[in-house]
Amino acid sequence: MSGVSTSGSRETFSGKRVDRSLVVGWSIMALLMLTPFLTEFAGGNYVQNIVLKAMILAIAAVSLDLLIGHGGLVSFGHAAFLGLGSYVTGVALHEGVVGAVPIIAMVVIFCGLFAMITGAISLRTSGVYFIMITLAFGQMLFFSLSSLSSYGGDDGLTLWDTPILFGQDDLLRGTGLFYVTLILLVACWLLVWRLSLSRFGRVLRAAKENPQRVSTLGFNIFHIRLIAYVIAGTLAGVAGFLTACQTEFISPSTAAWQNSGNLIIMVVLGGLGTRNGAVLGALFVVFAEEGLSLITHDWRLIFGPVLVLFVLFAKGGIANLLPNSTAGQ
Amino acid sequence: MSIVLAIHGLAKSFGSLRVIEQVSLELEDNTCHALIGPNGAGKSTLINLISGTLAADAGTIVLANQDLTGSPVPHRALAGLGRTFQLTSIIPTFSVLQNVTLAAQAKDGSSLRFFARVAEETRLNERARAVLDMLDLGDRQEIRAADLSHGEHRLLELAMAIVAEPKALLLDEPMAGMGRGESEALVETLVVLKQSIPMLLVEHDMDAVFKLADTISVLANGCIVASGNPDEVRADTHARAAYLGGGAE
Repeated sequence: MSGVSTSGSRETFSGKRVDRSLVVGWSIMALLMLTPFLTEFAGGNYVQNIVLKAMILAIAAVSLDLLIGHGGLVSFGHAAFLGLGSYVTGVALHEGVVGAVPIIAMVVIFCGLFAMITGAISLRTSGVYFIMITLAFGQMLFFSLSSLSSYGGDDGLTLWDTPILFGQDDLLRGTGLFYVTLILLVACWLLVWRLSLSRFGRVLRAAKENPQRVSTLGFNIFHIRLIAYVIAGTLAGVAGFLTACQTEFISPSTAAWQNSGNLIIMVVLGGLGTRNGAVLGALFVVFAEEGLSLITHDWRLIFGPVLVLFVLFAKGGIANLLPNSTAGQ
Repeated sequence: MSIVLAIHGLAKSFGSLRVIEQVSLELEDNTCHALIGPNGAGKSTLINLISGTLAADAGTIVLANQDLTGSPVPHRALAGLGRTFQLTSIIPTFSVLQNVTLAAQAKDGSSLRFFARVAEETRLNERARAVLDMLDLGDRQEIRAADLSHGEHRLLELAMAIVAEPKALLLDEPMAGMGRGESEALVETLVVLKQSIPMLLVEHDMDAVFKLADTISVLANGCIVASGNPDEVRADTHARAAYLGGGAE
């Protein structure tokens, strides 16, 4: 993934600058890798947990950026996949399945199916209607989870076990979980970017700008978008699995629409369709939330205007504020 | 000569307004069939019916012995029906080359390739560059499509339609808004192109139409009122009444 291309640079028409965004991205990942060491000196577990939470949300945000940033599909129900992923994990643990691999397999299957069914219906619409219908599906899932009375109903369910990965029971808790999450984040970040540069991604991005033209060229936009929706939903489901591992608790509120809104804020603040935007956005939102709430209980009073300023004056998002990082084609 | 595209009894109404009534026409191999008529005659509607962007109420569309009546838009495109739009329709943030390779990709293998970088696919790039060179856009391929001039947009539109080597090409006012020099150059290009790709041309520029067309049909109020070779149409009284002598432009 050095991205240094001699013949390739001719095609990317901003090839050099894309490479620099790759450097920024790897720097962020390296910094995240050092976090457990750095927090030994300051902040301790408290800060490490905040960073972990941000990384998990970053996975969900990166997957949402595949839809919003690359596909132009503003899904307002993406937290449903977080919730579903955490519930599949929690229920499996509750029922005595402790292997991480079978649990993740179930997460992928459930979230993939949920995405395929709701996506097949939602993608028949577009624009505001797509926003509303994904919101509706998200809320349907939220209320379905709330009504699971044998798994805690409204109150959620405390998990007494952590999943076991490769025979180790400490890989999915504490610092082990931190690094597993980081590896998954890097994988997800590379995957989504790679997808966007592929044949599939080119059609997806073209359909965002001019669907009529793309379909008269002979592409079935619905299929391409549905595949993107399933990939994004599955990745967010994995983030849900990690959420359950971190909090050792599952709650319907994970799937609530406020969380979907938060993910959209991360993606938009970070920079739509950029290599690092969703990651930067997730880190920024989580840190702003934690930092501002240390100052005042009503931290949203400050965060709101900051959001407005960003939308007004930094349209490309945080990724475009960094001088050497840019949206690639 | 064999018939590539055959339209029979095509009809379309918007509510009680009958825009196209019983239109039949044929496009032969290696020819240009021009469709002329006053504004509002239904020319663009007809192009949209054939390409599938609008659903016809009645009639059949057959391309190279393949019945495309009722097929969805992408299916018609893959079957070999290329088109350009009256208002330029491109992917504005893509580079010129990316626009054309996107078009080439539609008929070149599966688009369900998720990992290989499409920008490095030599075959797609070579095909796209060949078409761009032919249309004199070769040195503009790295430019963002939105930054092209109007005339260049029209050429890019054409490049995207022909790179997939369609069996028949629907051209909806390709010269619209072009300068005189530009449109004369485009006519020269199309004269060469029609020898390999038969085209159905909608155009207001009569000089271009009479230079290019082997057959001309005159559409007025949704019906074909005259059809024939350019000389016949020039002499036809219906055609003159509907368009040529009417000073409709």
